[in-house]
Amino acid sequence: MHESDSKHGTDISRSVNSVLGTNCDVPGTDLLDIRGLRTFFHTGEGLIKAVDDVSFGICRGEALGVVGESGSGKSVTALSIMRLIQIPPGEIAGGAAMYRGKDLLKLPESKMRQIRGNEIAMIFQDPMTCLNPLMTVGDQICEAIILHQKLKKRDAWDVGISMLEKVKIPLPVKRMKAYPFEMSGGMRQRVMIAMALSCNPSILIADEPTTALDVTIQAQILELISDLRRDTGMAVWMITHDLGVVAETCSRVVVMYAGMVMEVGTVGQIFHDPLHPYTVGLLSCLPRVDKIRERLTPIAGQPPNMAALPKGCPFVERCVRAMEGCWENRPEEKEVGEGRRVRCWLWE
Amino acid sequence: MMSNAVLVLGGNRSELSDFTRGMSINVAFTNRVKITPYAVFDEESKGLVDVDGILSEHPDAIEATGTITDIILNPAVWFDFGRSYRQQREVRDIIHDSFKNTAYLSVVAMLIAIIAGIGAGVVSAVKPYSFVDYLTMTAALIGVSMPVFWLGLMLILLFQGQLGWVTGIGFGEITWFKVNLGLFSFHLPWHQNVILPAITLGTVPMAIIARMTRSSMLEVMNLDYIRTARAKGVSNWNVIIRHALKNSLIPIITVIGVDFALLLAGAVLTETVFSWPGLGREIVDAITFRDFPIVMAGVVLFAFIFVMVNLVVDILYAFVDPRIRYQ
Repeated sequence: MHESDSKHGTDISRSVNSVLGTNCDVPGTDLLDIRGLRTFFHTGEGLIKAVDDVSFGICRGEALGVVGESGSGKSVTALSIMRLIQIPPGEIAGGAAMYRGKDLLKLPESKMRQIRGNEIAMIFQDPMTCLNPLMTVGDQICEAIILHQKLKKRDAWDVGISMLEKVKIPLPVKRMKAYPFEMSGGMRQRVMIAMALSCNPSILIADEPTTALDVTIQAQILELISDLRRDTGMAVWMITHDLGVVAETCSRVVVMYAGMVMEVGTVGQIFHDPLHPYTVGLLSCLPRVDKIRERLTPIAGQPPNMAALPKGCPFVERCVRAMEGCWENRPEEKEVGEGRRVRCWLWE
Repeated sequence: MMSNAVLVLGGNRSELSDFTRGMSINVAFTNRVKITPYAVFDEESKGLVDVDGILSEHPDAIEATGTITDIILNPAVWFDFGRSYRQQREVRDIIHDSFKNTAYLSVVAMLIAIIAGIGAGVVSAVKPYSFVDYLTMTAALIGVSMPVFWLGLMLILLFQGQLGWVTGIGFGEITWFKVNLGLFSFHLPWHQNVILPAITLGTVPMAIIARMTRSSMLEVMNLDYIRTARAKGVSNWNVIIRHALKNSLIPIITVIGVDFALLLAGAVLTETVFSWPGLGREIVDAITFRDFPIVMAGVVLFAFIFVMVNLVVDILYAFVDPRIRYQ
């Protein structure tokens, strides 16, 4: 690796360690273990393999980042685990997701409902559209509490107030009776987080939670999520296309491309010593504080057409280090160190 | 008498229509209520010519109105339309009696339409492009396109003629029967004669409501907050009723309002087929016999109903959607 890269990597890992305070650097099969997940969509243009043989695990209390550009399958992976994919046109074609000894992909719908929102909660990208406009914030928070904790409305309401306090919303008693349209984007995302955490889930899936927010609000929300993770001991599965977000909040990173996992490693490894040419490309797109007036080098080409992927490696068309064999044969994921996996012929 | 007639037939229409324009409905308030068109103003003789000799039979039909003040104070402006030529009763009483029946029929028809229509729409939207969806929407398409009078006749033919489940035509009688539930009992009304007309009248609105519910629900079901609700673990049924249906209500309420006003105002065909003593039939009869006071009263009443129903619909919006507030 280049000297500059390593310098940058050290900076980031230092900041990461200060935020994290976690020791789960070992790839966990502890809490949730996804193995060989395949999610396909049957569309007019043909079969779209949105998620193709994705495996990774999440440890208790860890913060895992899943990065990739739009359409790389990171959201679909999460939605598949939550079983929120619309079938048809979607189809979960294979794999397993073991959570506390149960395979989430095979649970009956009624059992799955007890997991959703209760043990695995999810927050979404755009807080402006993710809250029901006709229900008060309180009613929406209480809905999950009444459902999962079997509380009476009045008790649930008190829990709701304490949740709003937890996510640092001022005047929580009054805010419970407000409608979403009376709140700002940042406030609504806080409400979403309060709603997701109201049943003390063991995993919080955050699907690009800050993409639709202002930069200052982004920082607040990320800090809030990190704080809550430390306080409650839940695991956070952070889906993002922003490597900055990953560096700030996560301990381990999964890099996805075209529905496949390209590389898995700790934040330090990924930023300090990226193995896959795609990861290297992603990092060189980032602006840097330590290098002045350097042109950014984008990854050449376009994200692939998911209906017509190359026969070999999906990244081959854009790869600067592509070899002849890359066009013909698809690489398998290979373990290249403890908790370190990469899908590339360079590391075979 | 002569100058009065000129005033009545020619003048002051503009002032009166200014009054009506305020309601944004163009009802021609001339005071022809008191002058039948059977009398024509003749330029040469400068007098009224009694065309059919009706004036001599009904001398009070040509009660003179006199000055402009009298015209502005025309009773018709104040919803007093005088007496019917044919029935020799106060128009107020005729309208009251017949509108009562039409309102009753319309409410029953609309209840059927709303319950069945929203039900069918929800079922379709929950499983779009399924067999049930295609079946429901084909039925709705047929319902919309069905000529009301034909449907009414066919229902009579089937349920009265072939099956003999229903007897009698016209309003019939409302009976009360006792329901005994052990500890307490109560009375429920039963009105056999309203069933077929109500189904006939309700079919078109039912189909329109079903189609509107389906499209509105399908739109809402793809929105982010529905996914949020599912991610919370809310059951499918609760997602549909609490989150999706409530959010699709605004366009549904709009069509219900418009259809209800239409039913209240114009159940003409159904009432004629079933000999229902309602307003629509009363007005058709009045038109046939050129009984102008009733026709005018009917038109004004229709306009009034439309305005009121739209007002109620607008107020309902605010109850459904907290974002809508009227200052």
